[in-house]
Amino acid sequence: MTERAQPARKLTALEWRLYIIAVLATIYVISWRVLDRPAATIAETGEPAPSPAEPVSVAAEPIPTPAPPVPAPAQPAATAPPRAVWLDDLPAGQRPVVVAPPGWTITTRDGASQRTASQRIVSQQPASQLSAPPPRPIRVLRAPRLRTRSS
Amino acid sequence: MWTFRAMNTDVTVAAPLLDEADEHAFTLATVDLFWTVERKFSRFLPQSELSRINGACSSIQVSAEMIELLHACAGHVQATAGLFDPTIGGALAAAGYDRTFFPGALDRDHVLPAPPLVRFGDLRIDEAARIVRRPPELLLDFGGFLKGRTVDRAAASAPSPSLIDAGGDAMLRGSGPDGSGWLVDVEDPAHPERVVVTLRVCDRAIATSAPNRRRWRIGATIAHHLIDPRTGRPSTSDLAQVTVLAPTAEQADVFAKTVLLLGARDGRRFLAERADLGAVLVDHDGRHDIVGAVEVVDA
Repeated sequence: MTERAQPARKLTALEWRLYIIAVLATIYVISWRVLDRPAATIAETGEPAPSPAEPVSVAAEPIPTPAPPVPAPAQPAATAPPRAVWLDDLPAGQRPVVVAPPGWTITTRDGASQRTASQRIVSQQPASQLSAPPPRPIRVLRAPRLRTRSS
Repeated sequence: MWTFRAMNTDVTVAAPLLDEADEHAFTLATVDLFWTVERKFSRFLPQSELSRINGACSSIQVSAEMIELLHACAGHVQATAGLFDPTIGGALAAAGYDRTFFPGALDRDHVLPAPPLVRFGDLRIDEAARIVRRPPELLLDFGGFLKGRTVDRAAASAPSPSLIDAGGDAMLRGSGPDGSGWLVDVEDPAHPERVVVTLRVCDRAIATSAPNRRRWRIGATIAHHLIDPRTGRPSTSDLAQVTVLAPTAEQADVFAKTVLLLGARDGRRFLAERADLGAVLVDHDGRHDIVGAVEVVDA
């Protein structure tokens, strides 16, 4: 004996809403898992950031040799690797090359402590570096009118 | 108008009738000139030719450019009866100006001993062989004179009208952007936000000498960069500021310093002997006096 085909049951509005929410939730979870990857950043150790305006004179000295390799910090077995690290804390062989902008040089502080002996790029007073390029002029948008000043 | 930094000062270049690209090109040429001159003649650059001379223990051969500079200095030393003297480098260093100036950099607690007096005549110059020999206590420093001279060199190829201003030593070529002359505000040395008087300048150079901008503390006293060659110590003139107008920026700089060191009375006498000079003298009470060929803009 054959049975008459049952007509397709229509979804109610509530069921449609639940269906859409489930699809969106699935997409969200998948996206979150894909995009949430740890990024390599420099950790903040609480040391104040170097000020670009800090007047530091740089003697004409050769770029210092890298510090002896520092062992990588011990990682707890159950936690992920550190997300940020000072360049100086990396072993010499793993330290990335830092290219100084024209007219700048990379130098070290006086190394008074292990913590502060980090490489930094410092600006140079133009009068103290013969090999620095000439300054770039800046355009000034005002009527040229002179004001005297002692030279 | 363009500005850049050289010789530890702000340099401004303007050629108002040029288009932006041409004005920029002219500015770049001026930058190169200042940079080249500074590398050769700065006493703060250890590898400059001037530093080599100041560090030499015996005779040293110098460049033709250095001989030319020293020859120009000799002329100014004679014209000012020694009040202009580029051999004050040792006195400047002893007064505390032993490194590039910026506010606070030269402050120190102890008073430095007065240096032995040396004069330009103590410098031995063989112009033909280009050999210079100096006594150990003599240090050369060209200071503002070099700024003025470099401004003149840049202005030699400048269009008209144009303005080249290096830390106050300026050449104003032509009659300004609108043909009525360049306007120059003479700053009040005691109150830099105020203007003492406004001048109208055409085809002349201007320079100002005053101890207010480069001052530092030594113990309980205040020192400044205007060394009186007669004493080897910072000047104690009754003038607070002198602005001189002259045919060249080099002359304006030399004579501004000279008049300030001379003081009000002898400074006026000095200016009266030179018809091509004009000046604005400002005393410590803020009073000003116009001397010579100077056009003042009505307030």
